[in-house]
Amino acid sequence: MGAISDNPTVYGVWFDGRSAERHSVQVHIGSDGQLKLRGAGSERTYGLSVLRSGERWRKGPWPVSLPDGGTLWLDETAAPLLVQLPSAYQSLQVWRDNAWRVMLVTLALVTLLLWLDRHGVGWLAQGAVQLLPRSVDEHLGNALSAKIDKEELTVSSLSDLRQAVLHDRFKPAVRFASGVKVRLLLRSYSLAENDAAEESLRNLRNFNAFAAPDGSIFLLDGLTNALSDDEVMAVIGHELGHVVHRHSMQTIARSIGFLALAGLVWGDGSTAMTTLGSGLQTLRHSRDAEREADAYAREFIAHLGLPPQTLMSTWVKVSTALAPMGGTLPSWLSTHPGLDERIETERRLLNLPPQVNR
Amino acid sequence: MVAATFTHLHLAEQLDALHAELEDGPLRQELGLPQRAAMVEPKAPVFETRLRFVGTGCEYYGVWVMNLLLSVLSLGVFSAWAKQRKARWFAQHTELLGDRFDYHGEPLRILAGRVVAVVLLALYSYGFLISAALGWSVLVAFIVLGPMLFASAQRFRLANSSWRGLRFDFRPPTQRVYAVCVPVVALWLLGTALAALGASQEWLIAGVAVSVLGFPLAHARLKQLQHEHAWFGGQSFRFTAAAADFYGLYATAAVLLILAAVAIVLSMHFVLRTFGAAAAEQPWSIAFALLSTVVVWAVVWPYFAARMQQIVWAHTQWGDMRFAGHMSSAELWKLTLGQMTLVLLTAGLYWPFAAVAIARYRIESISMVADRPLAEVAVQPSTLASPHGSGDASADFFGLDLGW
Repeated sequence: MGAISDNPTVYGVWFDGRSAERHSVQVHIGSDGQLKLRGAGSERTYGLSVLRSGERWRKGPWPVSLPDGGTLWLDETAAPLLVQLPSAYQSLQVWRDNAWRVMLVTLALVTLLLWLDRHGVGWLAQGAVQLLPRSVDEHLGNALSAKIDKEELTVSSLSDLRQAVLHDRFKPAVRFASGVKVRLLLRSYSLAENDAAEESLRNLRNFNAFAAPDGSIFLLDGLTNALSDDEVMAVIGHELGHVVHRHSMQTIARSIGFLALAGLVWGDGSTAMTTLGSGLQTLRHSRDAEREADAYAREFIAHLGLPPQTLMSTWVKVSTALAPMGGTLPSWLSTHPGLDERIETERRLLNLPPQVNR
Repeated sequence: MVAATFTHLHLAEQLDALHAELEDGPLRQELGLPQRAAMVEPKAPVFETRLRFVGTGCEYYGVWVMNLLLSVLSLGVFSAWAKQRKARWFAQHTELLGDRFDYHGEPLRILAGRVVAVVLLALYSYGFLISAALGWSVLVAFIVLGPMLFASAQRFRLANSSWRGLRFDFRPPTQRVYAVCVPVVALWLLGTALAALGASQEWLIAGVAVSVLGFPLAHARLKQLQHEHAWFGGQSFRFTAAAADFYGLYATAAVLLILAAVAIVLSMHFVLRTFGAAAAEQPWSIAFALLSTVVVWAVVWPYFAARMQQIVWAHTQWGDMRFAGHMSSAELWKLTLGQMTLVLLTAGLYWPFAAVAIARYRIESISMVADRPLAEVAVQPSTLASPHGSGDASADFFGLDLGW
């Protein structure tokens, strides 16, 4: 290693681990490669290999753990000594104290987070969902649809004839989604005492269709009454798309992913920011899921041989029915793409000229 | 606490003066009592020192940014090592009487604790969705194991912190832990239990109200538990009764929060009027409520935190050492607001600087007071033979860090 004169004597502060008394000690590494402490009326010797030193920051003093329970604190004056004592995270040291490298790390971090937000979480969620068997969807969906059916819905008020017609068209049509169990449930939104006051709210809630992860497709009377049979099939196609692509599971996986990401980013910060951030991102993916379901609906309609503008006329009718019920929300805060956007998408795909906004 | 000491000194001076008057002054002559040599009580000296924080935001940034990058790349696994680096950095840059603190938590232990925490959280969130039996068993498990896990996390934090080579510790009697924690856990789970039982809207709201109203009391008892059974170097801390002060503070905070809640409800009502009934169905209304919560929190929390710090430290003692908290709500509010604004403007990159600024203010506002030189007071004979960690079996089993 070097001559004895290369092992200088420095001073450190030593604590015996049994009392809070402070001892100034002389420290040096002897020719035998052992660390010697002289002070507090004693001389102690330690082999270098049994000493443990954690990460050393740019400025000291830094603690060295002694095997007998004591601690030795050394500062910058002990630099020549410290060189012989390896510290933890040494590979990270140069990335921590050099301004240029820190900027590089920052750049890498920002890029990584942006990519994760845009694509990464989505891919990871999709991968995670694919690992889960469909029986999980069915199990979760069973509980959910049973609960909704019992608590919020009641028997449909459609005529028996219409119900039979829809069921008869449903059965052969859904063979399009091979390997997926689905069933059609025609219902009406039931009147709860606390909702009796707001008639428009009730009508709004009755104008809906949704699918549970177990393949239960609910169509509510308000919607079924406003649409033709073909348009009802278009809606069924849309909901089928949700079931086939396992959007509910994707949403759960994605929201966990975004929550974890936001939690890491906002770190020790407020949980409100985390929830808000991840909530907004979940909404964005919800809108993407809706667009994916619309695309599935188009395929479904084509497969059934229905006129291609069926989906568009559905959205037009929905838009007309919903118009008197209140204003619209900015799309970035909504779970669904705006109706205007959906109508325009259909027009574009049907090669029709775009309609001027009123 | 320091102000009280000064008042005490002032009174003492007055008594001294009166005593001197009686001993030597004209009053004594008038009463015809024989003269006596003046006996003035020496004034009791007061020794005070503060904690010092010597770290800077720049230095911490380098640590923090690598922590975050590696944590994300490792899908969270590195976060245990990140926490160790962070805790050590903050501890080793905090100074008392010329010596620094230290942190000894082992990353693998921290990781184990985090895995347990994630599993518990997942079970709690999705238990009832999978099956009622699982949901209920998770709730029961929380009530049975919760208090021990909490005590274990507290112990982990304290037993892995040291100053001058001596460790802190947390040793509450098991019955105490359950007596304080079970009501807290029950309050916290009340909402979930009611939902599982299929309770109606009114019951759910009532449940939430009970949880919210009962929380301050539960929190007060938790704080007392934490401080009463904390140890340093073989000497336990003491926590004198502070119930009245706690209730006063919580009552004030509750009033502020109620006022804020009323304001939020009124503004939601206004929003619904503008956007129609449809708005109530959309998640964005939840987003708005959350944003309002953030704003309210940012205003009420500094006041609450500053006052809480003063109360808690004023009632805490260690041996002959007394403590005092000197945080001012106004300063804390300005600091928090300024720092958080910068964090938002920089999309989070300013965070480490904010953390350091806030930590510095909080740490440097704690003072230690004693009637003897503090260096003497600090050197207490330790009755503990074990310098490193604990040989306690149950602590090892539960020796997990469940904090974040």
